[in-house]
Amino acid sequence: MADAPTDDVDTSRQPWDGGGQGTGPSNSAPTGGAGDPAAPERPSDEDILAQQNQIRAEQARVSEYVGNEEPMSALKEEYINGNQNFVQKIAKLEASYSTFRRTRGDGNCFFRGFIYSYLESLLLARDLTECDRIKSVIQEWKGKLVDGGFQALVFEDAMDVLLEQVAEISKPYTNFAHDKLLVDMRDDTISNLIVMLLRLITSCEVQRREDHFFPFILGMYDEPPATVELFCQRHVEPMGEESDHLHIVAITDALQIPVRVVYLDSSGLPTGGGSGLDATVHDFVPDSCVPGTHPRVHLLYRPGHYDILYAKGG
Amino acid sequence: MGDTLAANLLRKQLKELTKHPVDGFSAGLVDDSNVFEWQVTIIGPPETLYEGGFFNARLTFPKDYPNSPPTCRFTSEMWHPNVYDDGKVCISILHNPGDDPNGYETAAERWSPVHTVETIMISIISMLSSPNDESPANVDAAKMWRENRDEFKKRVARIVRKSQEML
Repeated sequence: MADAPTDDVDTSRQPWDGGGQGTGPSNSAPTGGAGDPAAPERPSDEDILAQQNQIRAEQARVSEYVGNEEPMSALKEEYINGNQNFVQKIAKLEASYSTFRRTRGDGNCFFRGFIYSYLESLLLARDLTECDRIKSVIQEWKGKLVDGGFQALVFEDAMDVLLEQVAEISKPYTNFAHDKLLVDMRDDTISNLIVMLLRLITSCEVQRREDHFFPFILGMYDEPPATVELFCQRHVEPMGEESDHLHIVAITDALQIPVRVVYLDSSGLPTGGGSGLDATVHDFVPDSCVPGTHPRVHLLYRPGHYDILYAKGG
Repeated sequence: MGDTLAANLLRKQLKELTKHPVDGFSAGLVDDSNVFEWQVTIIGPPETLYEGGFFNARLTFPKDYPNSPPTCRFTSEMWHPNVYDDGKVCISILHNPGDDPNGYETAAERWSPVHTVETIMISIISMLSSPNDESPANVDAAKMWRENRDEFKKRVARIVRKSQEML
């Protein structure tokens, strides 16, 4: 059982962090501790599994799939007694972002944060042109998924659920509609079906553009999956598998939704003042969009986890 | 709303499988009022030790299917490295990622929501054709498969005969 890294049961993790990139299966093999005579005795596989499930249950109790909007100061407080590089970067982010919203760290946080933020932005802006566009893009994926070998019955309910959400947000804005979106995205069934659909579309997009994506897959792992199909079966389609750069490229291309990711980590020399450090920003702008298209979705990435950011004046 | 979507998805599959049966197995509900509990009969795949057998099994789906996998348990007697003493089938696709009690290689395909009764049965049929003795659920069967193939064949021939008598 080489792939149950001890990281997975690290109870000292922040509540928002359900398991980082570092605990993903790709990096886990060398951390098994086997063959290290000084390593303490490993707990049994059953114990590890039970503890993982317990941590997951705990997570579910303390955090919603999609949390409430919080001021940036709440984010800063997490680091106030810790690494000051975070504090400096967050202070700079406050110029562009007013609030943020946490997502549950269950491995689905990218997909869930991405779609919630997107739907919410459409609702707030009441952008009917974009609603129509995304509706037809989703409908086009029906044929593409079937061509890609996915059974229609596997995804058609999920597609109906997502299209229903799009239909709801096409209506004039009400507080009720806003609340309903949040309630739905906190609902086990609705929320997870939508995440599942996004995973299948991502998988299909990666497989349709195998030649483009395969070199990246080869670069992601010490022992890369032999085919793009295996990569998708192992790292894209299963719920709870962490998203990487590649997943983001694929889904933003597939749905033609530009996304900005703000990377917040401890990197940089502690300057102890001055102009301070900037968080790294990366825009995922699909080829089909005009270069420089303004991102609709802003996400905050901290190693292993994505939350939602709200741009000022957006 | 929770289990109605799961139930709906399972009902669709039942309808589809009734209309267009798939070679190698038959499937239906144990009790028409419960779409989460399936009764399947697997036909021993041709040109394998299990050829000629008719093996019954139960598929039990969780309420959060397709986010979590069903369990599959043979109710007919079974002798196979990847089937526990109590009949429970242990193959990688019936495990969630991360849930790894049997030390599958990381490359093995895990559960994902793309799996249906049909793809699960196809995996189980393929398991019968090619046992994986690297991560055995039944250590005795795995040992016999590896070290005493003749004895293994005899043992399987016996359960094949038994399954025919039960028809």
